[in-house]
Amino acid sequence: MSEVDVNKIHVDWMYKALELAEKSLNAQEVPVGCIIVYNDQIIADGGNEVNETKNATRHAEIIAIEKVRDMCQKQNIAEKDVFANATLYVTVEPCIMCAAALKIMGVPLVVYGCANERFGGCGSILNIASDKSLSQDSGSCFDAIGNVLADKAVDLLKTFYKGENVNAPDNKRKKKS
Amino acid sequence: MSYRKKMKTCSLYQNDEKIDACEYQPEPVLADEYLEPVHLVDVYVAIITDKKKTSKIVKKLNEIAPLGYLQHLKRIRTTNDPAGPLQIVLYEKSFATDISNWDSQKCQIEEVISTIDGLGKKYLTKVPSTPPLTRHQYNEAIQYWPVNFHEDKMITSLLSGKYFENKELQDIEMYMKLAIQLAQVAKRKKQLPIGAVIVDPVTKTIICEAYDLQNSGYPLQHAVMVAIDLVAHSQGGGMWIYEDSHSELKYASLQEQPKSGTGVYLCTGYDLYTTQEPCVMCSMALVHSRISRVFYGSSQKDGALGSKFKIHCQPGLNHHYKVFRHCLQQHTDQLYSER
Repeated sequence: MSEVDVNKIHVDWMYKALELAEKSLNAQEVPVGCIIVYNDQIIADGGNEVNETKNATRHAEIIAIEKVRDMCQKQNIAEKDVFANATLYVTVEPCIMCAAALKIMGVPLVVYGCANERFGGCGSILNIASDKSLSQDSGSCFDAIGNVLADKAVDLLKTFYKGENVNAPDNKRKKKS
Repeated sequence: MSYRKKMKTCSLYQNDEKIDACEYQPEPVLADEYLEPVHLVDVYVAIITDKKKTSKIVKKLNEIAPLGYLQHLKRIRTTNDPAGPLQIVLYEKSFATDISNWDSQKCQIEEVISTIDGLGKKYLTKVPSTPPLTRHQYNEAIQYWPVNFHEDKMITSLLSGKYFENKELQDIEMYMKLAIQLAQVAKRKKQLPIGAVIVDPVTKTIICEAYDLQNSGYPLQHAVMVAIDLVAHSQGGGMWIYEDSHSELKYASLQEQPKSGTGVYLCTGYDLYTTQEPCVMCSMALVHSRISRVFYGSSQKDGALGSKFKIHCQPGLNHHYKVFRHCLQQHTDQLYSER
């Protein structure tokens, strides 16, 4: 496959991830969408669920990882093999936490949209994805390809941050009327 | 669920409070900038040959060669002999060697300086390139050149070894012992022996008791991730469902908690006690969760709160938290001695 073909594949899958990001936006969550592709099929998807669960670790990547595990358990297939041959598409660069989680799960390739200047774990703040100083216990490094439909991911984030985070404590935002 | 645990008084604190308090102070994990030796830079200085012209010279130099990022330097110093001549900082050496400045600025500055009355011949000396952040750095810096020092009282207190009062130390020890007990529960259940407790230090409420669940099959269920999820459960959220066989995992629902002034939001204002240094994933999860302070026992090779990274004070992140390590380390090290 030529490089152009590969890029087109990444773009096509990224549009799917962007659909999920839009869903998150409508649910008043930070609009980040994610899909996991295995054998040319979407086997799991996820959107940010931090506000819904009151758990700040419920990022799109973690939700999708758990859906893959559920699928593997139901179909009785070894999840390690699935993760080791999967590609994760996410609209925003995985944060430091998610990058570390993806290493632990053994996902070899991550394709993302825009950079994550606040929390990015694939180079923006730290590069956990390619950090070789961590031991084998922390998993293996993964390849990260960024800047795939980045503008579209940024537009969604901008729309979200124009609004107000209704879950922030009162003293951190404008007083309710 | 009942949290009425009897606090064991530690006899160590009763005999000689001062000595034992020092011995048991958890070690603060500070950003590298507080621990680094003084960095130096070459500058040109000159002797003021005519003291009466000092103020004029200073005024002129501030005009043509402002100190810029070297604002922490005192422009003038006395030599060892108080009656001896004054020395004055002219400009940074690289200012003159920077190619882009070479033609215009260097010639200009040299020319102007040569016209200043009362200045001796210039020579190079080393001065501190950054402002001192701690008294230790200050004392080292002034060996080279006098500098201004704005002492951060919090940092001084943290480094003093007397940051915590005995009452606080007793609380820390009590919560840490609970984390160790949970690690032992985990071990009995064939899980990794890592315990975690999240506490509201204001109301002294234990919000959750957690331990590692990785060995149940999901590699992301580290003790800290479980603890964060249990806090979410305490607030009516949460994601993971825990098997009945893990009845030792506990959380205090909001109804059971003393009322706090402001509403709860993630782990804002809470402290975490854990037996082992959190990894990258867990340390960043604590950033997202807005934890206030983390106390841990044993360091670990991939640890992200002091060993491999310092995620809690990583530049660029929008939330930082305090970290104290080696709490009851002798006890927590026993949990990991077999590795």
